[in-house]
Amino acid sequence: MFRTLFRHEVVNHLLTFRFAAALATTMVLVITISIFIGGDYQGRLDSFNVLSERSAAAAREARVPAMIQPVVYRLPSNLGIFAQGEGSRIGNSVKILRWSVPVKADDISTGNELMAVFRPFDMLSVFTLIISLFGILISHDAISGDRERGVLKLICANGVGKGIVLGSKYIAAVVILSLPVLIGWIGSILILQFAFGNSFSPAEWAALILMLIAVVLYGAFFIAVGMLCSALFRHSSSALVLALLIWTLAALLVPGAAVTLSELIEKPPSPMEVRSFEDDSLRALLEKRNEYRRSHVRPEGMQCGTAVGYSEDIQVYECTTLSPFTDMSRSENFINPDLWRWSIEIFKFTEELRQDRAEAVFKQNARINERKNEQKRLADALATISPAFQLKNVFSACANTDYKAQALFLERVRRHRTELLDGFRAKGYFGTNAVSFFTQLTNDDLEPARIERRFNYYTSRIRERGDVSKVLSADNWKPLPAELIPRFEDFSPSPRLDDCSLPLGCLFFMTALVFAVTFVLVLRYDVR
Amino acid sequence: MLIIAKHQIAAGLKDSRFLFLALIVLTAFLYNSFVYSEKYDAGMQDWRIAQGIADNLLEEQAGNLQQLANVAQELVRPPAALAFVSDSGEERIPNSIEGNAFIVRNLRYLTRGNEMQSSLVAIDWNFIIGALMSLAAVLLSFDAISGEKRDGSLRQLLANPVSRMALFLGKFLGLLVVLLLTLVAGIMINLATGASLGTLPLGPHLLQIIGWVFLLSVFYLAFVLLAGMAVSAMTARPSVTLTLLLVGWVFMVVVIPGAARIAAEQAFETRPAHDVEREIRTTLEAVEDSAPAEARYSTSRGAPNMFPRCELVNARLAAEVRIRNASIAEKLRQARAVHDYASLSPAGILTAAMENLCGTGVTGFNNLIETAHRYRRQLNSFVVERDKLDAESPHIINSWGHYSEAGTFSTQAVEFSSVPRWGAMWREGGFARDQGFPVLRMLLLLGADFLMAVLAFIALARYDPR
Repeated sequence: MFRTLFRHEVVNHLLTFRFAAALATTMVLVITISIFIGGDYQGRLDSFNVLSERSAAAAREARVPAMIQPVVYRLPSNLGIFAQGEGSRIGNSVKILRWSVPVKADDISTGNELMAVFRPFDMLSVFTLIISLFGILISHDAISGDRERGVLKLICANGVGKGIVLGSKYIAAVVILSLPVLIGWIGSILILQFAFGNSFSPAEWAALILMLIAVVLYGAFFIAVGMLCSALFRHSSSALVLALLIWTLAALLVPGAAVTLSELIEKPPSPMEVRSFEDDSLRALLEKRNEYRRSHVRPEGMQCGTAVGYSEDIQVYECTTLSPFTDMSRSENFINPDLWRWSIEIFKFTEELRQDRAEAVFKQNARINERKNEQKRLADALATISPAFQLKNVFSACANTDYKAQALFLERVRRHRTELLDGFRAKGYFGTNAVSFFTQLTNDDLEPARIERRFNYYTSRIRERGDVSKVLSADNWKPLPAELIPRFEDFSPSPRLDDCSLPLGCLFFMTALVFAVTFVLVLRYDVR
Repeated sequence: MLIIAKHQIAAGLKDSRFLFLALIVLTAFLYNSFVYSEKYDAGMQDWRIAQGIADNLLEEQAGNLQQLANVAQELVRPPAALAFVSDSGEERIPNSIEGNAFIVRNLRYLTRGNEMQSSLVAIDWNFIIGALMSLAAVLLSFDAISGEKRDGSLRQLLANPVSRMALFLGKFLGLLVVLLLTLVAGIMINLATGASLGTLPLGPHLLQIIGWVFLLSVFYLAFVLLAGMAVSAMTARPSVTLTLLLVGWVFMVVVIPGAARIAAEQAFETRPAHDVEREIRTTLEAVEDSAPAEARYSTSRGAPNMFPRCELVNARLAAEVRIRNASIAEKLRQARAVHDYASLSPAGILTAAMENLCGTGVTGFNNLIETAHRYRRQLNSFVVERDKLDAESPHIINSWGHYSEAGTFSTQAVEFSSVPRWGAMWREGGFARDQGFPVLRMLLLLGADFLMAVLAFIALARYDPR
């Protein structure tokens, strides 16, 4: 009897306008998105390859450490078409700087920060809305409709249990709703593979299957909701209204409200906290540096590129900018050996300060990030009851387009930065002096015994060439050894399949709960 | 017609659909006022602190005109008071830019937005009216005609001397009044709560804008109702009507705006920031290479290479300004294109028009950029005028970047109170100037209403009750 009822329900649904509309809408949207976003992914992949190679080439051409400011890029996610997530509004590249530890990416993948105004449009958006709406549409009159038509009375009069009726209707509805999802899914994968040449790793195939299961579970939840409302009301129209209201709450309102509620409860940190810390720590650093400079008087006759005031009392140019490089970047200063010695002493002192400051600012940012994480955890907890939120979690974890994936990328970038800086320091570059930042001269070259010889060499070259800049520009050195500049390994994390288990479990549990309540209601239902 | 309208209103107000929907809408309006009052208050606190820091910095530099001209200020846009009407990603887009008397550059974020949070819907008026109330309009109107066809009451009604126009208008007005009652109640609750919390500056200017937003919303909801009636008149069964309308709603609210974004990204490319920086570096190197040798050395007052050096510095600055302005123009063009393409949908028209009126989103960003340029010109003029008063100055107003060389223009002190200030460029509510009214978008909505009304009436007029 179950099979008979099941077949009957399936055939009935297949012949309805609702199913045709669901199939047509899903197919049109899924295929359109696959074509456009699939093409966009290819574009971003090409751009990634070009930019990464350009950055690596620039690093290979570097002749002095000052030229090493590599930009590292994050490989676009192969499954990003399914869930653009935060990927479209958080950066995907980081410029590695000596004096700051990266806490966030610099650049937006689209190149346009203003795109954050607009919501991303991807497979997740389509399934969140279309599948849930159609789930409601096909199930809202499952019980009440049959009751209105008198069919339910007839079926039950033939000794068919109400539980069997409900079960067959439910499973038939889930199967019917899965058809457009499955067809759309297969169509999308075929387009990505054959039109755009995408290939998927075994982990990505597993992710695709998990996402498909999540969508089916998601649809099953709303079918259960539709049937619950159908069991609660005598009239299908009333059932529909309640079901749509639940849909509005579950799919639209709760996730957004959870975010804003979390911001009300866990107040977001003020950006001024970080700015004030950065400004105060910079001022403190400059004070210490200037104090040190005052006690180590600058040599006579030095051209100062940064002076903003000459102190008559101590006969020193007071400098409020941070960079000691500005002194050494002025080519004529190279011909002053006393300045080299003086600059090395100053830099030895300031480099430690600058590193300490970079670490302190990073820790301050990390504290701020932890508070933001607390807020996010609260928002996630509040949104747990929303199946749309759980579906988003599955998609984001599989596509690696959420902030967690970004955090992994930044961790890799920080390790790469440390590796780069340690490599230079190990070779004696810019360990303790500014000079080697603009030359290839290492600490050994700048030993007191060697400086005089070095300067004599430069002075004679300048006399020969007649132009300081021609002698002292970076072009005079060969490119730095390649082993000093490790390449950043292309980083694209595998789909986080483990992170899918909790949201899938939540989806399953919510669906089972709603179905169980419906089952109990239907068992007690008066078919008359 | 009036009798039909009254009947429709009475039926609508007693309908459980209306009660459920009104409850959700009113709750959303109330929630909105609490959330955004808090955000605006926090945003204004941050802005005042930022202004205090900026003023302190200017005061420190006022002892030297050259320093004053070159110091990099952080120019922060104040939070938009009407973000509760149209949020438009206020916390997700840059709201500050670095600037001095010569150049504005380096967009930054000074918001409390949490980039870790999911980019889900903001519950602003645009969402409440554009999505929730339009869904309510669909649910109220889908069986307006087809329901009566199914029940047979339409035939009975038409058997009486009731013109189809009267029937059409009566039903439409009745449904519209029911919706507008909810909208008005929601707006009143929202504004009253905001006013009682005391954080929002709801003065005459802002209330006027809210009036225009209300008018836009009326036209938008009228469109959805008319579409509901049109489809209802064309179909025999309410279930088919509802399916079609829900698909239409999804396309109107989600698909078309989403597709507009994809289309704009394909049609108008923007370059990543690092590419722009690379172009600037290459261009500046080219400018240096083409300059005479003496221009590449530092200079000071009276030095032989003062003029060529100053010319080179200005040429470099002009090149950088050109590239940066072009980059920002690219971004604005792409973002505006999204709004333009999304205007194929009434929901897209509503979103763009609200953003325009409230000065948020792309409009707010544009305001930041335009105001930053205006401030830069003002500060530059101030520096030029003050420099003229220094008889010993060579009067060559140059940008030396973050460092300054002594002498090519005045280093005299100026009174801090006379220095143009960024904070003074902004009006209350976060506006730099009058936003203007989105006339074209209003006309588009009106046109869409008219077309849909004609369609609905024709469908009803062609109905054969036999």
